[in-house]
Amino acid sequence: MLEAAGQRQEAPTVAVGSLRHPAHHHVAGPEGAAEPSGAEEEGEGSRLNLSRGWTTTWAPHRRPARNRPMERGLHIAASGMLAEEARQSLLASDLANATTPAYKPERAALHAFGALLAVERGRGTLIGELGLGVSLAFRGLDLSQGPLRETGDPLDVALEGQGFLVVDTPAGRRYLRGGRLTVDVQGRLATPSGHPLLDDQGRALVVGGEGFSLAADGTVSVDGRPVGRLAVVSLEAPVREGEGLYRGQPGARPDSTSVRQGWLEGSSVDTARTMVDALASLRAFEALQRVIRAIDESLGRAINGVQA
Amino acid sequence: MIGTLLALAGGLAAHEQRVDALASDVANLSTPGYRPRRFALVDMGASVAGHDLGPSGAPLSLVAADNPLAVAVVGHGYLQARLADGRLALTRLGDLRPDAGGALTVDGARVEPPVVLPPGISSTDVRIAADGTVTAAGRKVGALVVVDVPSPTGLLAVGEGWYVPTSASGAPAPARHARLRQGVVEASGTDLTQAMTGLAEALRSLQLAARGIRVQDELWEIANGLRR
Repeated sequence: MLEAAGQRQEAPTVAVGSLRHPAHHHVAGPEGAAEPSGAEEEGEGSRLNLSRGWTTTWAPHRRPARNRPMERGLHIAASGMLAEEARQSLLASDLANATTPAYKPERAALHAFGALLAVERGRGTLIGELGLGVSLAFRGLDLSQGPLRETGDPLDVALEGQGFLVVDTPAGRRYLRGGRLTVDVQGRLATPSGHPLLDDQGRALVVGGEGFSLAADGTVSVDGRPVGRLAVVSLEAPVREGEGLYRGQPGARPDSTSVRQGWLEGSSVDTARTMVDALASLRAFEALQRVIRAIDESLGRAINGVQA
Repeated sequence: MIGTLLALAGGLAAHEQRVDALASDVANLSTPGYRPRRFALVDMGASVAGHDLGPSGAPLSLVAADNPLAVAVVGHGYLQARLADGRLALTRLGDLRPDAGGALTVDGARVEPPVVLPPGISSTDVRIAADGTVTAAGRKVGALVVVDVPSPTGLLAVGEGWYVPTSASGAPAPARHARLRQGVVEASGTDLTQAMTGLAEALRSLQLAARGIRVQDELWEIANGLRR
């Protein structure tokens, strides 16, 4: 008999509740058979359906009281569909923001929940790993520098190098990568939504109109007199909040970052790659749907077979 | 899935707005004193939104004017004049002409405070200094005031190059960063290369969002096919 010696290797995200501890899972199969075929008609003598190439598809177990392996196969495929759907929503956000100044895409990768190690009980031959499903793990923002282009507009500000500008919002300090700024009614340098930018002393920068100049080190001058220096901070674990703003733990001013007036940083989205990823994800979603339908058919046949 | 679809639909709307703003820039390629619209795309979490930030403050190039009384505002500022409906309005178009009573007008609206030329004086004998002082045949007759508002984004455009101050723009005050130059007018600020590349970018973004909507639609169709 085959036995699955459960070994959960790594569970980077929350495990689905219906999955029991892998140590309790046993995979049944015919004596010594390492290449089983279609399992569903075999009744009790079920086996791994490896012939379809889906390691996540499980055959019914010999001791049905403790396991519902068919259902587990459904859950595994469903977890894949949910992960692809989440990936699609990230990719859609990247597509929508392909030309948004200073937009930083979120990085995410599909992660296996863990795996079971299947071993043949009779001879102790290793069969291999069996997956338990998949989830989408977020890995933070891709903060690589976007392309810089000159606009000549004195209120366009781009950062060259790492770091963020500091913005005062009603919800607390938020961080901005740059973009199109405005001057609010009080003469303060502000974001398009009217949140003032702060200098390195934590004060708003009063420029009184568009006639100000911004040096590469962030010094803001009005009529040739410096009125403050734009705060630039490094940011730990930035999280996107919308309107170009991020929250996170601010750190020291990065050394080599320069502030450019009259320039905009482009979006860091690679459109070709994003589109290809979206199509690949769509097809994976479709394939998983087929898996679910195949399992559904198998279950249907098993149920109708019992009726006879 | 519905959220992603709506996010992409929001993206379509924002890119369409951008196309409109750029179309206005291209249409005003030869309008004197036209300032390109500042349009900002900002991410809204999963979607994108567009902000129209009003006319750009980038300096425009100056061209010689046929009208000897024409002045251009160099730097950040506006001439102010009283519109026919009594509202105080701002403009950067300094195509000054005397009305029947000799008062200087822009597009029929008297500048504020009024500057009245003495009768019988020829336009070519009028000098307008950089600080706005108007002299006719060597005698001072008044001064043009150049004003600025704290937040030009908040100005309300009322057409024909006129802007009305609002609570969002702040009240006009004498400009600190502006001077006048006689005999020239500002050319249109539209940079055709920039406008056309922007337009191409906006159209491609629109296509990309539309394509994303199709992918989402297909995704939904597949999910619906789970149960036959």
